[in-house]
Amino acid sequence: MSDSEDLERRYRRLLACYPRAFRHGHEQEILSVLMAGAGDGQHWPRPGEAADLIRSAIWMRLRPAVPRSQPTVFWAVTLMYVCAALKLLGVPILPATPGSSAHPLDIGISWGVFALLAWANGRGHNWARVLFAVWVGVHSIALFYDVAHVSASSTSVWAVIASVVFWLVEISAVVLILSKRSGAYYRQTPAQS
Amino acid sequence: MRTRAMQEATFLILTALAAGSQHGYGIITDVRAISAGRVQLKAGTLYSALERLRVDELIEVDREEIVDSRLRRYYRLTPAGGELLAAEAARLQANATVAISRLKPAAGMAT
Repeated sequence: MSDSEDLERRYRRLLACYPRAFRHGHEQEILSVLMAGAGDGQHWPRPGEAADLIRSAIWMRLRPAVPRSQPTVFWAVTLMYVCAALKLLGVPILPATPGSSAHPLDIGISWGVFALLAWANGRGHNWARVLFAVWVGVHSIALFYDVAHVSASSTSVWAVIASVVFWLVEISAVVLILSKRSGAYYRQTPAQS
Repeated sequence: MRTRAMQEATFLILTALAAGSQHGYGIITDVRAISAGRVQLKAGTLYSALERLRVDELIEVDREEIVDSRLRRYYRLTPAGGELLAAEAARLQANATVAISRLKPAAGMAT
């Protein structure tokens, strides 16, 4: 096997890190660029080049694929990530807050759900849109229950206020994601892996 | 309306495409030339940026060619991409003009 074939095979292995749909559309093209930039007799990808391919592949798998021309979906997904970040912030803080019954494991699971739904909505999955709305609906009922019983329970007023602020963020995301414009985007855009 | 400042790599890629359509390797060499060798785009970074620009409808595929049995896909600016690049170039020029005008008196006093 020639140096060039060895190198191409190794580049293909690195390109396997990219999402399948992207690879299907761009693998040959990226290979052309990589091979055009390769030196004579080179048979291994340069370390910097390999790191750049892996980093870009990870970023391409994680980043939202929503265009800025779709502001309702774009901002809804951004708010979902804000929810996930707030949950993460709550892992060390909430259990230590007086009057809070939050457990780190519960908050961790909740963070995982928000992160997963933000990621899936960012990739255009309609099921994630529905699931997010249902999830927020359930959370809303639990919150209303907490607010109604705040004086009768050990739940502190500050914990309820924090929950209400969080709820406002997540309900804003639901309003945006369930808008007519967002619906059209989810119906017309094929979901990405 | 307030807009976010564009990343340098994005600005240089759009600039490379402003003169006409180019394929991936052409963009890499052109960006290196425009930045006098300072910015050396790698393939992963380039295609990550191209995909984002394509999703945002700032660039589009112009044509495809097979050269030496390898695929070359040419990209070009869309009208929206051209407008965004012009706005960013004007913003950078305005900032640079202010910086230079403020540096001149300071340089004069120092001599």
